[in-house]
Amino acid sequence: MSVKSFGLTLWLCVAASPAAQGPSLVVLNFQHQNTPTQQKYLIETMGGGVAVLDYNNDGLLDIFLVNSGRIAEGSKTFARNQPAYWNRLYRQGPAGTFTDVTAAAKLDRMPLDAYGMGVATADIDSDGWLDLYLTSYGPNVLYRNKRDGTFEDVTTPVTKASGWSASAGFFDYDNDGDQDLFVTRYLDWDMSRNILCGTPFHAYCRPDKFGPMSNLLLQNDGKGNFKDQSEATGIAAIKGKALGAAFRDYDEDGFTDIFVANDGMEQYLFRNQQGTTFQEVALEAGVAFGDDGKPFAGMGVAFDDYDNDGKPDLAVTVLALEKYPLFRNNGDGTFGYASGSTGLAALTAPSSGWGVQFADFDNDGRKDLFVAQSHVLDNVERIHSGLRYLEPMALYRQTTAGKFERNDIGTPAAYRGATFGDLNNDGAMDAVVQVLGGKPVIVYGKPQNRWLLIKAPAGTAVQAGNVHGYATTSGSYQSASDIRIHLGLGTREKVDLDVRFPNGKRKALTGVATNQIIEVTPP
Amino acid sequence: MTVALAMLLTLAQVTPELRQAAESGMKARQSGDLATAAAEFRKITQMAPNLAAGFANLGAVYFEQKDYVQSVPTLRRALELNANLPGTRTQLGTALLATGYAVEAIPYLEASPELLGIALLEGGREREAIDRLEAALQTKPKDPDLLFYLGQAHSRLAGKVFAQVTGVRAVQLSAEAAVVAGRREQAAKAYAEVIAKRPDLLGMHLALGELALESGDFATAGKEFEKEVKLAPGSARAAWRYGAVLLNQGNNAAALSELRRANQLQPDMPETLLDLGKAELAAGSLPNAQQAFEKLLAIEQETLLAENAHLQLSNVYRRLNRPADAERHAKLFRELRQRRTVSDVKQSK
Repeated sequence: MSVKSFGLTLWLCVAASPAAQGPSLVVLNFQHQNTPTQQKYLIETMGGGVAVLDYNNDGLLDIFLVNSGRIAEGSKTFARNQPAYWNRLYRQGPAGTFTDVTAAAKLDRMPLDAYGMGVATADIDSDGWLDLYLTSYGPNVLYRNKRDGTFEDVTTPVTKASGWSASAGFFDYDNDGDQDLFVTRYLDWDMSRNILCGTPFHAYCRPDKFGPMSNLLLQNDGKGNFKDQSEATGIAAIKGKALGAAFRDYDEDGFTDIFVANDGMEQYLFRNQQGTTFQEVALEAGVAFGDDGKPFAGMGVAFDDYDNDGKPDLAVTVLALEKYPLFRNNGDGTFGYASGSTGLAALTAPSSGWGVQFADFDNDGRKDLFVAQSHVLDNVERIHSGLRYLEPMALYRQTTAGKFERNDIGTPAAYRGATFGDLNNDGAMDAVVQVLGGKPVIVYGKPQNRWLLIKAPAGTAVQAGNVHGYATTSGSYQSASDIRIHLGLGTREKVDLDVRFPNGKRKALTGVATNQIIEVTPP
Repeated sequence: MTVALAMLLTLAQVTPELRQAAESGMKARQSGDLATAAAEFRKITQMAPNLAAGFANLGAVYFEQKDYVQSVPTLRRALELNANLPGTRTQLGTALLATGYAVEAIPYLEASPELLGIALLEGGREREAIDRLEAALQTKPKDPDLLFYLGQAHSRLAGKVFAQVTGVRAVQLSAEAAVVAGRREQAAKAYAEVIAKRPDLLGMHLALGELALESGDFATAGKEFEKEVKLAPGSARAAWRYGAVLLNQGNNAAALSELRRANQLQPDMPETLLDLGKAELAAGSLPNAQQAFEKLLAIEQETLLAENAHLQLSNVYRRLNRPADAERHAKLFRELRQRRTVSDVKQSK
């Protein structure tokens, strides 16, 4: 491990992996505060989201980190007005350094009763600037980007929500060209109804000790004003214990569908019915349960095409011994369990995962699977001597078509939210991973092979030969990723691009030189 | 229980002092003032030293005070004066048990299978204890205390047998005991020791592999199962385990081959049929998968394996474009799952 000074306190250290073969790691000088207590309040072990976004449109990705809060016995607030418990925005400078601009951006306040969970990003008012939505146990907050380096709180009773929100994500469910908002709500739980679980020592309670909650679907009017359509679309009718969510048109009917990762129960796949209502079809589609027919602890979710057939597949992060389920899209409205055939089942069986994404980390034209790992129970070793609470991150690298190999990254920690994007615009995919009660880590990918980064409107799909990409900030766990589409292209110096915009229009670009960042706009 | 004192008070020859002490003692006991009750009943035993009820009540109060040392001779004296006091017998047996005289307690506890079972267990008569505790469980099913003592009885009985085992088999037993206790590392070391001493002993690699699987270590499990398969090529269980690991490792062709072999060795093994169906599904052979799952359901209808087979068949039929069959199996899956979930909830309560 070598220490690299950037002249700013944000950088703590840089750890180069052996022989510089893999990624290099940077630990950020941000401290996530979750306040673990003897009461084992469930919220303590479930936070921290993270986002990478270019909030100031300077072409460089910045980092937003969600903090949780201070839990004090008998108090219903979480000291969010104290700097130690602020969320933080770090602006990236040209030299790759990050500067804390939280206060300058007016992001230094959260409602005192908001114990922070996650973050979602989107340009909610189509002004070309990314806005922020923050989820909490307690009130959620919507920040509008004022285009001058600051944000303003534009939360309404609708966007504030209630209860315990976990992940949130933006997508256009009604094909009207703006970004609607989906919010997962985890459990019917509050601190006053906390119970102590486990004998002879206490552990965080299993979700089956508490009732389910409905999720929220908020419709955007195009100006960033949201209307609650949860009831009208049927979303509210189906309660779950939702932690993660991701959005893709899995059945290619032109309308984006919703996958919801539920904890300790069946998963939900909400099929979009022409932008009006949703039908829950997870069982019929083959994604409700694991290969053993049992429910699993769904936490994070990646909804993308891992096998280059143009159809979005699903990977869900779960607890140890459940094996991360990978569902391959059969192209007929159903999915097949592919964790076994890809080798992922055996590789992931001892691990528990949270933040997750399919991305091509070595630009060989095959997407890999990155997972932020750690068990949910901080004393799991006392319950099962073969399991571990702290785990390294893992890159499940796709070596030959359809097979994965495991590469552990970093030191064992309680990794939670994870966000993805090319932070330094070198063509290699990077990740920023939150650590529960710890300091987050930037994982810089090693530049190799050829690539393209494509800036396009949310919901745009791009195809370069057999490689497919999709513009979204959503997915993972409580986190938001770079909107730009990253394509790993092997040795190809030029590619032809087929671009499908969310409005249905297509654009063909021929002979596009690789190893560059381009922007595509609808014709 | 205020033994026979109420009846005593109806007798004409009772002295006013005795009546006074009996009434005061009963009243004090009812109000929870055990010290006063003991003092009053003690007066009765002094005034009427041949009155069994006096000693029985004084012993009962000592018992309630958890003063078992005093209660034993007092209750014993009551029974000497009148052997026909069933409640007092049980109380004496319990007091003896509480003071560590389990063998002496046994003759007094015939009215309580639960306490008799515990006394027999503590008295070193585990087989009889198991009979009595199982009888007690008939009236109190899933009682955690009874289950604890029953488990302890089995464990001690096994311990007595195991104590006579020597050599490598003793190490094997210690490994199995470590597995039961959740001490996986200790168990793995013991199994490895057995293998080092007796490499020909069947089942050891299988046990090591299953231990590894419990921690999600498929790499170790696969190696151990492969060794077991070589050692015991006729073992359907070893073949199934090895095939299932290969299936999870993405080695589909080898998995299919091994699971087919396991199925030939033992064609009616549901575990093999389930994983064979999954391997056929992974290989794209929907009819073969369908056949394996249907065969499983012909063997088992209510188990977790059957539940999973319905789910798998639902997926297979959907892919075969047979929606009615798919929905039928999805419905059966849901019903089985619902039934089991309700049962789980009841059990957890």
